[in-house]
Amino acid sequence: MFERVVNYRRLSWSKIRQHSAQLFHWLGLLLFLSLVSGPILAIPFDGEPGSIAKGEIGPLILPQGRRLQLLLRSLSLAGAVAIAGTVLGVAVALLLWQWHEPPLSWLRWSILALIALPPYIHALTWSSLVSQSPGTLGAMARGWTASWWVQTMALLPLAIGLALIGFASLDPDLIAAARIYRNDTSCLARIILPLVAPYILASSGLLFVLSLLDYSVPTLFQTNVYALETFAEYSATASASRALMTAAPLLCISLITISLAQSNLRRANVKANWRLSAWQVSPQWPAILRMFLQAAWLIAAMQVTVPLLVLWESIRSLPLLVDTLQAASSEIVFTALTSLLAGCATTILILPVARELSGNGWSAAIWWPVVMAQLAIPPSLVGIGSINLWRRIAPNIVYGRRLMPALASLSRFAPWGALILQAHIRRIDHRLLEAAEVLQTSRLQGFFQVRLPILAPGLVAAFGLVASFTSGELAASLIVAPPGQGTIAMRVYNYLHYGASDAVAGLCLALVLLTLIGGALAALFLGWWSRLYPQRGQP
Amino acid sequence: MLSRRFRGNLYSRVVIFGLVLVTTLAGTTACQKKPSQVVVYTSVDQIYSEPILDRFEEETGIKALAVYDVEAAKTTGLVNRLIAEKEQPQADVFWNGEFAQTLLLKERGILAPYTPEAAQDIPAVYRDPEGYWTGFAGRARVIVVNTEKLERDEYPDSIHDLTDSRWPGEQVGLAYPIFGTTATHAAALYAHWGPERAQEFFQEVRDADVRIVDGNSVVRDLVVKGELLWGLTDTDDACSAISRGEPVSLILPDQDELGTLIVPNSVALVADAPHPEAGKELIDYLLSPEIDQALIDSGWSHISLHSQIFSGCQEETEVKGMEIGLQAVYEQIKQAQEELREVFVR
Repeated sequence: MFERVVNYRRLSWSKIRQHSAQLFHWLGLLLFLSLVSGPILAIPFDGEPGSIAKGEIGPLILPQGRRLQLLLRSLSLAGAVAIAGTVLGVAVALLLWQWHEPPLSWLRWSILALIALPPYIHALTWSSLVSQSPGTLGAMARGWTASWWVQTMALLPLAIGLALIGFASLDPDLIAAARIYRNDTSCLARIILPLVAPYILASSGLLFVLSLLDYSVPTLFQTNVYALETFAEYSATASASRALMTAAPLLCISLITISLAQSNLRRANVKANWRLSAWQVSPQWPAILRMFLQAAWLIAAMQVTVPLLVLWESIRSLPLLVDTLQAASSEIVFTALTSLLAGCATTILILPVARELSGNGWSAAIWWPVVMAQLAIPPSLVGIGSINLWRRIAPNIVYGRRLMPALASLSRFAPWGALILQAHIRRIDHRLLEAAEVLQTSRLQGFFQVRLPILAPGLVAAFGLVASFTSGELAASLIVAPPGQGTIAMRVYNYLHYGASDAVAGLCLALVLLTLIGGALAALFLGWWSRLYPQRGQP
Repeated sequence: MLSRRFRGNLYSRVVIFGLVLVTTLAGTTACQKKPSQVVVYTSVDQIYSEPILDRFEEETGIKALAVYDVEAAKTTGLVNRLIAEKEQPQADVFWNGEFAQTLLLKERGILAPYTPEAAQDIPAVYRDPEGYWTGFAGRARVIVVNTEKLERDEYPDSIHDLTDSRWPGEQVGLAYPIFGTTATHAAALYAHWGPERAQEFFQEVRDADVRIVDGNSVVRDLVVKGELLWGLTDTDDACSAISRGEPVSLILPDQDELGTLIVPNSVALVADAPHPEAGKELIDYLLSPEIDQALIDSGWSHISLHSQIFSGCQEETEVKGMEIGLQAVYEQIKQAQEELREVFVR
C-alpha cells in the first residue's frame, strides 16, 4: 500500500514537472486577468446594489435620439482624426525611415516622448496660438474643426511611431530587389505600402479609439461628444455601474475597431533586425510626392514646436521654473517611480498574454476581446474598480498604498504593451528559438541568452509606452492616489484651474524631459543589448 | 543537471519574479510606521488648501495627508472615491469647496455627525441641523468682464443678461451647468424659480448661442484673452485673474432682487474614519476665524459667512445672497443635471 502511495506521488510529481511550463503559463495568464482585468470586473461592485432598474438597462446601453446624435458626431470626429493622423503619420514616418545613420536614426524615435504630454495641454497651446491670430483663423479656435485639428496633433507622435515601426519592419532585401526592376514611386505604391498596410490599419484603429474615448479636447473647443455623456451620467448619479453601461456603445465600437485593425497584423511581412537600412541609396520621389511629404514634415515640425515653444514662452523666469520644480519634487519622484513600476510590471505580465495573442487558435480568439475591452473603459471607472478589487482582496497591503496608482495604470495601459509585444513576437525568427531548445544547456541559459535578447525590443517598447502613458495619467490616479501623494499630472491640472500657466508650462516640460530621458535610457539599453547579442545580418 | 531542475519555461521565472517584486513592494509599504496623522480629501485647489494644511501640521504636530481633486475630473473624482471607499474609508475629513456633493455624501451614509463648537457662530442656513457638515468660507457666483473690451456702462449686472441681445451670444460664456458650482447654481435657480421657469431660462441661454465651455477657469481664461466679453464664474477664478493684473473686473450679479448664489465651503467628518479625533481637530481648525481670514487672504474665499461682506480682490461690499436653503438646492440638483444635459450636451 505504502509503495503504491509513493509510486503514485512520484508519478504525480513527475506529471507536475512535465506540465510545469504550461502551469506557469496559465498562472501568468491568471495574474494578468487579476491585475489588469480585475478592476474592470470589480466595477459593478460599487456598493450601490439595485441602483439600476431593469427597464433602464436598455436605454442606457442603446443610445437613441440626442445620445445617438452625440455618438454619430463622436464617430465622425474619431474617423476624421484617424484618417488625418494616419496620412500624416505615414508621410512623416516615410521621411524618418530614411534616417538610417546614428544619431539621426536614434533621434527619430524621440518624437514619441511627446506622447506623455496630455492632450489637454496640446489643446491649450494650440488654442492660445490660434486665438491670437486675426480673422478667420481666430474664429476657427473652436468647434468640430478645432477639435479635429488638436486631436490629430496630439495623436500624431503615436501615428508617426506606429508607422515608423511598420516601415522599420520591412525586409530591406525585398525593397532592394524591387528597386532593380521598378522606379521608387512604383516600389512605394506596389511593394512598400501594401506590405506596411497592416501596420497602417492598426495605427488608424488605435487613433480612432483614442479619439473616440477622449472628451477633454472636444469639450474645450465646445464640441459635445459621447464620451462626455458617460462622465455626465457618472457625475449626476455617482453610480459606476450606470456609467459603465452608458459607455457600452463606445466599448463595443472600440472592440470591433481594434479587432479589425489588428487582424491583418498577423499576416504582416517582417524582418528580424530593425537596424538594417532599406535606403542605402536615397529614393527619388516625383515632385508632387516630395511636396506632400515636405508639407507633412512641416506640420509634424509644428506639432513638436508649437507646444514646446508656447510652454517655454509661458515660463516667465528660470528661478520661477526651479521653484515650481522644487515645489513639485515629491510629485516628480512619485510619478517617476509609479511609471517605472507600471512599466516593469507590464513587461512581466504581458509575456504569456502576448504569446496567446500572437497565436491563431481559439485561445487567441478569446484573449483578443479580453485585452481590447480594457482599452475602452473610462479611466475613472478603472480607479473605482481598483478600489473595489483591492479593498476586498488586499485591504492592508495594497489598498490605499503607494502601489495603487501603478496598479491602476497597469490595468489601463498593460494591454497596449501586450499589443506591442505580440506584434514583436510575430516577427521573431522562430527557428532561433527551436535551435535554442535543442542546444541550450539549461532553460535558464536559453532564457537569458536567446529568448530575452530576442524579446527585448518588444519588451522595451512596451515598457516605454506604458511608462509614458502612466506619467501623464490623471483620472484613475486621482481616484486611487494614496493620501499625501500625488502625480505631476494632478498638480498640472490643479495649477490649470488656478491659471498659473508658468507653473503648468514648467511641469509639462519636466514631463516631456522625463519621458525623453526614459526613452534615451531604453534606447541605450537596446543598443547595448544588441551589441551583446548580435542578430542576423550583423557583425 | 540544471535543465532538469528548472523545468518551467521562461514564464515561470518571470511570474515568480513578478510575484516577489509586488509582494516585496507591498510589504515595504505595509510596514511603514504611521505617525499621528489625519487624512483629508479636498476639492479645494491645492494651491490654496496646501498652505492651510501645512500650517495645521506645524501648529498641532498632526501630519495632514491630503488628496486633492481637480476641475477636469468633473466632480467624478473624490466624491465617487469616498463612495467607493465607504466600507473601508481612508479619509477622516472631507473638505469640499462647495456643498452639494457633501449633502450627497450625507445621503449616502458616508459622513458622521460632529458639531464643532466654532459652528455655533455660523448662520444656521450654512450648517446641517443634524451636525453632519458645517459650512464656512464662502465663494459666490459672479460675472467676470474684460475691461478692455467693454466700457463700464456696458457691463452686465444680472444672469438674465446671458440672454440679452446687447451682447453677442458667442462672446458670452458659461461653464457646463451639469458639473461643479455651475450645476449647483442651476439647481439653485430650479429651487428658486421652479423647474419649469428654470428650464425655460436655460433653453433661452442655449438659443442665444452662449458659449458653453469646459469649466469656470476656462470662462475666466477666455475673458482674460478677450475671446469672451464676459462670463459667469466663481469669485476665486475671477479674483485670481485680477490679482495677476489681467484686464478683468468682477461684478456681483442681481444685487437688486434675486441675489447671487453664495457657495460655502463645507467640511465633514467621514463615518468610520481611521483617525476620528485628529479629524475633529482639523475640522475645528478649519472653522476658526483665523483660517476664515487666511482663506480670504489667499484668494480662495471672498465672503465670510459671518458678515456676508465681499472682500479680497476688489473694494469691500455687502453681498445679497439668494434666499434659498442649501438642502432645497441639493434636492433640485439631480433633476437639473438630467434636464440640462438634454439641453446642453447635444
